[in-house]
Amino acid sequence: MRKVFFTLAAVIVFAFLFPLGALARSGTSYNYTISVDGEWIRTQDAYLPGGIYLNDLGLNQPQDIFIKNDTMYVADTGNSRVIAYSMSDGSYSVIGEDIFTYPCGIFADDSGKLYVADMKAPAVYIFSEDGKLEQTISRPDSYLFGNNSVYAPKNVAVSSQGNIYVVGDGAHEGLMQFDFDGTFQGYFAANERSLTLLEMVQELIYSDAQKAKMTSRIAQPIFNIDITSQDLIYSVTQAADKYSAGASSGAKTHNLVQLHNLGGEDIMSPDESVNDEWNFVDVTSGIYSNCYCLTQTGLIYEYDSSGNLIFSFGGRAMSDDKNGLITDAAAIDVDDKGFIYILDRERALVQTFVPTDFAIASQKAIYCLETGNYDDSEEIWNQVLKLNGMSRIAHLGLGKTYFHQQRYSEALEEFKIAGDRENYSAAYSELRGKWLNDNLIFLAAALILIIVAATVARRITKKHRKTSSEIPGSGASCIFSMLRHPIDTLYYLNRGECGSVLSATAVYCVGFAVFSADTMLRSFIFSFSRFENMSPFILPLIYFGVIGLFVLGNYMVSSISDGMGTIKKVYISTAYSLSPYICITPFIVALSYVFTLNEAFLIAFPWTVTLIWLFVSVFISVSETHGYSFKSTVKNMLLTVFFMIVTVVVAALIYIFWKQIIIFAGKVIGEASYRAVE
Amino acid sequence: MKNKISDRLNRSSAAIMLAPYAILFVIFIIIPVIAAMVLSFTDFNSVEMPAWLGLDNYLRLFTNDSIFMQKVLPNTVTFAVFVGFGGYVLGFLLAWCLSQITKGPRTVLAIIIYSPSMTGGVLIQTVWSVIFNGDKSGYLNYILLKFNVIDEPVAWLQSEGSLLVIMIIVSLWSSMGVGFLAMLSGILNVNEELYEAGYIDGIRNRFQEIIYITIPAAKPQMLFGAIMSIVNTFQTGNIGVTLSGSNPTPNYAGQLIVTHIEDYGYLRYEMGYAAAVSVILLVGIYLLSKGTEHLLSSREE
Repeated sequence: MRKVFFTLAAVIVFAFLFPLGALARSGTSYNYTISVDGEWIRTQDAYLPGGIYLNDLGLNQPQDIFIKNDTMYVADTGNSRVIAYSMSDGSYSVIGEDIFTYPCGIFADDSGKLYVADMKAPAVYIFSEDGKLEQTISRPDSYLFGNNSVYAPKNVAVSSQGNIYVVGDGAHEGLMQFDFDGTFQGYFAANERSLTLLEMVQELIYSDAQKAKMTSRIAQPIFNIDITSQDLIYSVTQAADKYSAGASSGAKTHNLVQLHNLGGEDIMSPDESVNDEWNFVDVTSGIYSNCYCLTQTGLIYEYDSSGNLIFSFGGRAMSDDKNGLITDAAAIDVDDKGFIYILDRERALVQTFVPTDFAIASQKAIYCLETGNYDDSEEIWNQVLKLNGMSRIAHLGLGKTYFHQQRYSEALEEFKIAGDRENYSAAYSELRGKWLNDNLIFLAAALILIIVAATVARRITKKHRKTSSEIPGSGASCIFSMLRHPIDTLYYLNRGECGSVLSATAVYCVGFAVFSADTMLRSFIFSFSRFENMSPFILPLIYFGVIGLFVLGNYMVSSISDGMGTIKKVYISTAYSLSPYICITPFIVALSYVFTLNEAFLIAFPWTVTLIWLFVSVFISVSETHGYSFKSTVKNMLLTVFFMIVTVVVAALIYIFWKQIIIFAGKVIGEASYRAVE
Repeated sequence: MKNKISDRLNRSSAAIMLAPYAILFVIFIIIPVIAAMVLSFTDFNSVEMPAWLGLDNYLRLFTNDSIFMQKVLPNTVTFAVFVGFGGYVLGFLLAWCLSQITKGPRTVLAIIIYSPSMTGGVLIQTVWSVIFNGDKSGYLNYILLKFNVIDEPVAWLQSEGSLLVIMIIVSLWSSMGVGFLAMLSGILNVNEELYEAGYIDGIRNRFQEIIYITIPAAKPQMLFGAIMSIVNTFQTGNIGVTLSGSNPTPNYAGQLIVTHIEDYGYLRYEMGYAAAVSVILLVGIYLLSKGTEHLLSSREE
């Protein structure tokens, strides 16, 4: 979908703006962010295309750039050389011309040492500050490395302690880690992939020959890395196909952009799915603990250190060389001022993107938040929100700021707008704790009072109740007796000794009220349905549709399979079998305002019990109403469900046909009238 | 004189006869329970004098103890549903099945099913630890490796995903105790004539036979079985620690309320907090037994 947008944006730019010569906007592609609804929305220009570098150096298929202070190092892979280019005066020098075979990754550390990964040598070369070859790391012979492992260094990063991390081409084992004198230390941060159920079965029954034919089940190797100033490592991985990327993809076992700590674990967003792309080629850490990921098609995704998408911009140049669009993106880096440099392999040049005030404000706010400067961060976030009120990350940031300032009720509002349940729950828990501390005495007193009152009330009613008969009287009391004695109550219901069509209809209506409350009135933490954007008819349609179809289907199936129930009996008994749902759900809805995610189990457990109970209750109702045995009840219910599905499908088909017929009729009439006029 | 003494003894004989039990009950049950209730309102580390805290321990338990809320309580409820309720249903079904066969095989099978609950703790360590051993020599690992289901041995007893499941399996295996025997005898003692009368009155299958005749007729034994299964559930609460060999269990995967109390009481010496948890457990068991009694005796009103 996004690709379409970008193509569209590019087409619009080319078709209308470019030929006129006067640009309405200075950017060539739109900037996007994630809105509070989790959708992609356009935002103000956060990054604008800047100047172009290196277009006159005769580069041939360059693979990597690295910027240190004023110098831009380029791995000029096709020409087997590395170029150090001074960005202030445009002079350049060539390093190690006769040494390299296929240099494709560069890193320069603070002491001025230059590290070059050469995939086809294969080796990692280390140069001193004056350009002399100091050390060569070739294939390690340590048994830790493995006999069959491939050694093809693709990129390299070095921590401030001198640990060298090497990305190997196709190295499924993870990053290769060397210490400062080039000794192999072991593998680091491998991607993992678990077998799917199908694969387990295949593993069990396939022969060795068949197994050999199957596609590889090894996890995707890490594609590229960058190291932050705190020695954490950003990595990007390419997905096997484009469907296993993005926030909504449930299939992925890890995010495609990760931030590894020293233990190699992902600390960016290990539990949540990040809005990532399947074809990331490079990653670089920004100046405010953010990171930029580059796709092969030239899209740039900016994330904060928790994996929230901040901005997305850039795009592919389709047929024209236009600033800000990229033909074949290879590498990305950021300088001290936050300017972004992107290496275009095919066009053999470097493009820059300059952050606007809007982008700088967002980054600064995130930085202030992370470093604990809450007063500043609140002010900047409010500015950002004035510029873009729909920005999810701004609401989230403001909420976190309020949370740290202990302004929990304001934080609550912001988290709700941002749709962040976990933080909302944390703020709610703080508020609740405060309230409990203030009111605990009253609460305890109220609890004791209620217990005493209940005991007294029970004593009094016990004296009066002795005469009550076994048969539940009114239709309303049947609801409660259904909970305790479902079989007996159904017996009386079916004999017509209690309940009626009228009372059953009332029960259905109460059930609808409970259903609506359940879907719409639950507290934000536990409500998982977003009905605010839907038509008001959708709830009654779902509820009455499902129940109507069930009653009808049940009756129709039973009438051809020796069921004793009439349509009236089915109607009444089905109504009363909803009893567990009607009786328990209101309590769950109320409890959802008491509990937070910490106590989510206390909501989930009664909810599961209710659903199971409801199912058992419906099952007993079918079996009793029709006088079925266990087996025929199962058969009846399966057939009923089948009937419901078929009916829905047929209804959908008729709807589509009907639409087509109307369109067709409209066309015929139009044609006829056109001919008639002629 | 003599008459007077024997007279007095006669009159208070009930109290005297009751005294040994009453004194022991008060000393070992009543006083500790009350002491625990009092301690639950204090901060007590078993060395210094308890400091009064009011309801803080309870507040902490319900709002601030994320391990209790996210691990211990879900684990306990899952364990109780499967081992308590599931074990009870399983016990009844096994008893009913056994009641359908002839006497010889029935006795042998009943002994076989009953025996794990007699041997208990010792066998758990030896038998099940060998089966679920974490290296290649464990039976389960060996079989799974042989059929290529797994690539490397899984430490079943140390892994978060499998510990609770294993605890449930082992507890179910050893849960067919006295309650099961009681239910078996209850079912065997149901008057045969009732079934015949039932079939004349229109019972059509075995399921209806169980619902309308067997269960009502064996109700006292069923109630006994239910209480025994609740007790059994909380008695076997330590099984996670026995199996995994550590308290707290790995990543709290097999932590139940009983082990949580032990963790706080005897490892961290936060006796006040542990007392508060145990009071909550007491209230929970009380409500559960009340509910069970209510459910099983309701129709005889």
